[in-house]
Amino acid sequence: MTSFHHHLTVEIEEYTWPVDGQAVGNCMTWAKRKPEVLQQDLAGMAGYFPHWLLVGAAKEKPLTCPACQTPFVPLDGAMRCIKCRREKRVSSLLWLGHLPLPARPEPAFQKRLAALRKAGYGEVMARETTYLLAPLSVQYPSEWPNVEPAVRYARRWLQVMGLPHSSARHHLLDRGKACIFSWGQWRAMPIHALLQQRMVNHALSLFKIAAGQTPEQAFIGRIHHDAWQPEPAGDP
Amino acid sequence: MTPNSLTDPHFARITPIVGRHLRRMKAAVVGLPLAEPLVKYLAASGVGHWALLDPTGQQTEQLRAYLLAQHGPALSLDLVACDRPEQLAASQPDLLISAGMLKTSLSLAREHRLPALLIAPPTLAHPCQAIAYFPGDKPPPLLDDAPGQLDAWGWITAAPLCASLGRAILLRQTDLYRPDLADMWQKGLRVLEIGPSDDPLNVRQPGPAPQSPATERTFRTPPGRRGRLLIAGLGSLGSIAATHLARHAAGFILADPDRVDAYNPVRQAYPLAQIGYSKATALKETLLALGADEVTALNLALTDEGEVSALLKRHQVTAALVVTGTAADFAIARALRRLDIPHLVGRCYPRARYWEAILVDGQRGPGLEAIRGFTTTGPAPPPTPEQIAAYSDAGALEAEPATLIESGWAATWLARLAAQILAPPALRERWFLDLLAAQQTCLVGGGAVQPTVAGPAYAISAPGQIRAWGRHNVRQSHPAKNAPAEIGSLAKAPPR
Repeated sequence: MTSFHHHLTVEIEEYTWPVDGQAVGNCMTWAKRKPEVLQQDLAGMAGYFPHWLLVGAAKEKPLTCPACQTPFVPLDGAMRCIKCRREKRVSSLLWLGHLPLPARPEPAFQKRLAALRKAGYGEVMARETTYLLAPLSVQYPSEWPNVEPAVRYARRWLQVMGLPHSSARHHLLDRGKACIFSWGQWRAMPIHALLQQRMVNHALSLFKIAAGQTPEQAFIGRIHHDAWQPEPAGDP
Repeated sequence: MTPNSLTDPHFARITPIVGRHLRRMKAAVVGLPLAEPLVKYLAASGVGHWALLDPTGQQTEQLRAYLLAQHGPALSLDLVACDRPEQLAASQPDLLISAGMLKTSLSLAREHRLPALLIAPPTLAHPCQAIAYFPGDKPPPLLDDAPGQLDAWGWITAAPLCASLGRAILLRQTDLYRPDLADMWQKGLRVLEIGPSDDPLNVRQPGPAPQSPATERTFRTPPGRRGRLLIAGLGSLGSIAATHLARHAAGFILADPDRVDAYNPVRQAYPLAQIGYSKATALKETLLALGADEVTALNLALTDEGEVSALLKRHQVTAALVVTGTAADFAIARALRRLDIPHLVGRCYPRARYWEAILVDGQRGPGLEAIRGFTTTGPAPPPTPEQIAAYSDAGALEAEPATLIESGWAATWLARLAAQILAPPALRERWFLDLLAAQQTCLVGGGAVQPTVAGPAYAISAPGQIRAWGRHNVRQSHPAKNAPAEIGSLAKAPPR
């Protein structure tokens, strides 16, 4: 079993810990039954999104240690505060991190960019392209990977982007949850593939809306297309 | 409870689908008692005005008692028994339904210019044929009225589809018409052959040559009470399926934590008088009345795998129908698989436009966890209005609307499949054994055809068709435990 380490810097202290599969299994029974699935997710995230963290949560809300304000992570057989090692029972697990996405050149988007900067959201530059870092959480379902996970945008980030928290036109379900699969469309894939194959497109569509396009233009595809409607026939 | 408080919620979950048009419409029926399920299905969609060819009036009174118990004053029931076919025509029905006696009914429809649904129920010699007749049509060729031995399961599973055709004829000039059937009828296609015995999952247009081989000799599982069946989840699937299985299992273990509410009787097996009762206890009464031998009611939710295992051993369960509609299906299925108990996991898709049944033959073949979430089942249909409304925090409904015709059809198939898993392998039917052997164990049925840009949703190209997906359609981008050995990337093999 390969060991994967996560890293977090709090103030000037750097914390590094091996993700403990047993601790994950104690929280989510699927990880106990299918350790190979967890291994695949950890490997994929370590390879493609190494700054993301696996943390404990109450439903979709990440939990932090009341004393240290740091997350609870799978460590030494339980979910523990990375700083003081206090143990906490959690009901769900989230991947937390930022998805880098290229900014749009339109003037309307530059206004949003300025607002994001002002609100403290990060960006990186690579080859003269600005990549915005969209804050996301991915919540494991109890029957992973048979059931799709919930991917959510940070609520405040949506506000700064001028986007609603829930809207059919924007493909956003309740509380910033991205609608990335239609009902029954989910086919099992690792978390990193989900971020690459579904979330990048979803977030870029939101960027297009922030750049002035209508949601219908921004979300290309026919997920919400009108049903086929021939003329009523009457008596044939 | 006052009549008004019953009236309001009773049809609430079907109105988004069928509106209120059917409440004004009248249907005439020839061919009782065979046609009785059609009356029940259509009444559950709101058709309350009926003229029945029933010279003794006895069946009419039985139906009246059933419909009043199930729907109460919400249905505005107006049920008339007629002595002669001419009386039916004189009652000016919007639709004539005939199960058998086809020549008489066709003459009546032609003479009085009535739209008609002419049904030749399935026998051991021919599959069910349903013919939509519209005034002005040329007289269609009819199957012989000579009585054959009724194919009981064939009729149980075909009746809801026939009812959906009848409903579509009634609604054809409203905004709730069926586009797929309107298109078919516009092309002059009137006849559907439902569930030919060599391929009971199929629905097709009859060809010029007889498509079905002589099927009297096709092996059918003999009737009998076999094994002890667990039904987990007693809603619109579990409760209706249970009523069809009452005489097929030696014992039943019924498990559901819920109580019957005012929305349930319209499409579940609970009469109005059982509102407030625990579903398990209420269904136990119903099954015993239908002739079941031994029924255990458990008013609890099965969620913990260990507890389910203990329960399975304690009650000596030999087969299970798992239809909780929740993620608990997985825990229950894991316990069943560990104990090598054949089981069936079913669910309806939104609005019950489609249903899914995953067959697991104990520890042979793929289990639920290797199929659900891993199997590619063709293009998805457009979202329902409720799914779109669910985007809004305020818009989500408590439960999806559906009618007994759609969810009841799913339930009849789950019952038919459950009867097969109850039987030992030597008594199972050929088509069922073929599905297991090919590991095509994920069935998706659709009552209507919905085109999408990538082809018909779930590859269902005829109303009432069932597609069998499985080993060849499993995509492995994530390791599936207990997945079939030959899983590769998305295979090109078409569904059955």
